[in-house]
Amino acid sequence: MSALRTAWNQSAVLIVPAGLVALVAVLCGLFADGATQSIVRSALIELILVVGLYIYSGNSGIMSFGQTSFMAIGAYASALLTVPVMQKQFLWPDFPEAGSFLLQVQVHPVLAALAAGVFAAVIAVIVGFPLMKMSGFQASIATLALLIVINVIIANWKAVTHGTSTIIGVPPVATLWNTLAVAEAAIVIAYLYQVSGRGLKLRAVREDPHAAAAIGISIVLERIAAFGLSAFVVAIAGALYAYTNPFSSDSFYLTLTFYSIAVLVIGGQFSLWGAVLGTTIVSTFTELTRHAETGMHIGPLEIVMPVGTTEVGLGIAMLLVLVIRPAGIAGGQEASWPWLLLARRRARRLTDAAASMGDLTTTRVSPPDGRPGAG
Amino acid sequence: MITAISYLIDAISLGSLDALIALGIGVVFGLMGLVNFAYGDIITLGAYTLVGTIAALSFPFAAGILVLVVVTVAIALVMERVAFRPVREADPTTMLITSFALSYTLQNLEILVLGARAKFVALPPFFSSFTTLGPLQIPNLSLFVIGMTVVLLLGLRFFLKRTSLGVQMSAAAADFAMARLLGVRANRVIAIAFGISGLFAAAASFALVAQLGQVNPTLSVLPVLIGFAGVIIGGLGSLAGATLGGFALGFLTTILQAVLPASLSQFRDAVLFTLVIAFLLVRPQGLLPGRSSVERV
Repeated sequence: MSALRTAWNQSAVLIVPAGLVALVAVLCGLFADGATQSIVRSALIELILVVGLYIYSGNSGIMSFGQTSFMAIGAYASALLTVPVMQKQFLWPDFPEAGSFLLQVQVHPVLAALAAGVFAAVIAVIVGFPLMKMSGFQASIATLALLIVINVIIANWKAVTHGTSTIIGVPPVATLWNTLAVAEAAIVIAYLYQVSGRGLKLRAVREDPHAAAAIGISIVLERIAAFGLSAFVVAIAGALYAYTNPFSSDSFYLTLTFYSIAVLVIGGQFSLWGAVLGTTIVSTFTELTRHAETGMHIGPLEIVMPVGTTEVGLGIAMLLVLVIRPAGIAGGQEASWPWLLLARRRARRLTDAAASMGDLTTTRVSPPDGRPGAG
Repeated sequence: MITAISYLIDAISLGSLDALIALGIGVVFGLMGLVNFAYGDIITLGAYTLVGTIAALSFPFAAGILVLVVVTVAIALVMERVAFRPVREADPTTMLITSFALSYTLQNLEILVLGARAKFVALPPFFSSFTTLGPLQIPNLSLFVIGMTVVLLLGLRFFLKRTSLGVQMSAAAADFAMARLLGVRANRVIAIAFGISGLFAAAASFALVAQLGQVNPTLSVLPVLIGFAGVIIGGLGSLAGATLGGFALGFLTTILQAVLPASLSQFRDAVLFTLVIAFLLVRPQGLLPGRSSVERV
């Protein structure tokens, strides 16, 4: 019986975030107008990106600045597979001979997205072999180098990518409903990974690399696995992006990288709940400020904020979170059933009260001051 | 031969700029383990200051430079106090992300206030003309940047070795806790490190503005990324390493520019950063590792 209850309590980790996303999307799908629906669809694509980033960065503890380059790879690969054959001749007149069969086919969007995901994962595993040997912020900067390298390649390899020009002609098949389905799938993948043996091993590495290595965990291998899975999910976000908007190499560069990292940091980098909560909160916030930039009416009041307020606000919000609550809004906690949270809070209040009555309060001795910033 | 020498001068001049930027980042990193993304924004804001004072307010050149130095040092100090002091005890990754957030905020603030379009400026004609040396024509700007870098490097060395504050700073970089026990004031040495990085940012601002004749909000993004790479391949926490790393990248960039065939030349930065990653694998501790180099697992 108690095992069943534990399982039920544990299931909140998956059901609460998945349910929150479904609730928001379904409410919008049923009651909101077309413009709002397409905003929610974009937010869902961002959610997939953030959940994908979380799979690697949350579990490994290494912030990656390079994940959006896999989104670019996903978008370009799925575009190459799904643009109608007639238009392909115009988009890619100088396509390399070896790959010219790609110009003769048009693949179903779902199949193309999966293929793009696998392709990005393969690239992630290949570049992961050197990158994943690094740790900490050195690894972060190496992933930033990866972002730059892939962006330079995409912007200049005109025969394959169309350069910095916009790619048009991809069938706009992404709807609110199928994007929601993919987002839920991404959440399930992230959940299954983090409770799997692999996920637990990588989390052990995150907490204590020496101890993890000592019990026989292959650090590099576990990181590569997470990096590849993350690239797969992120690339599918890229495919959905391609099925929604025209895009170019600039769509997946520093701006989107910053956005995804900001969302993850604000929500809380170390839990799935943080990733989902962060996307929900930040996308709501940015949507409101974007409205305000074009002029918003609240009753008789009209608010117009200058363009760029959204970005500045997002940056300041992220700074505040880092200073005040470095583990993010979720604070590294996974989601729990709301009534359990209430019960826990009540229990804590009771123990606190008992402690103060029995004068059990202890003074904390802070450790001697060490070198700031050194790990 | 002439071509080789002019390439060499290009390489030294570009290397000087990269070394200036790498040092500005390295001096703070060595002390507190912070890789400061927002360093680029100090440079950009400095560049706007220079353009604003000279072009818009028509200050004399020397006054513009003076204001530039005051502004970059002030920005660096305020940045330390407001954004980085609260996260000083956090791990390096958190500090890195904090500086990333700060950089993003400042860059968008620049767009918000100053607009995304480039602003142009004309510097004294000296900087756009050449010195003729026999068959050799050397851009004055290159000579000036090289000279400025040498002066700053010597000045930094003098400061670190011969002044009380400089010795305190070196001591703190070697062992912060021990230095504090011996009476070194943490806030003061860190503020001074930021002040120095502000000074180097002023030099980099000037060099970039003089090179391009204009300023825009993304002016310093690529130079600072190259500066990061310089700090890392030089050896984290070592100032000599940062200098060497900066010069190495300047040389590498010039060599790539010269040897890459025309069809591949636009991939120069991709090749450069790939080489940086490859180098990190072969020699993760960098060229001249400092004492605080990071433990690798």
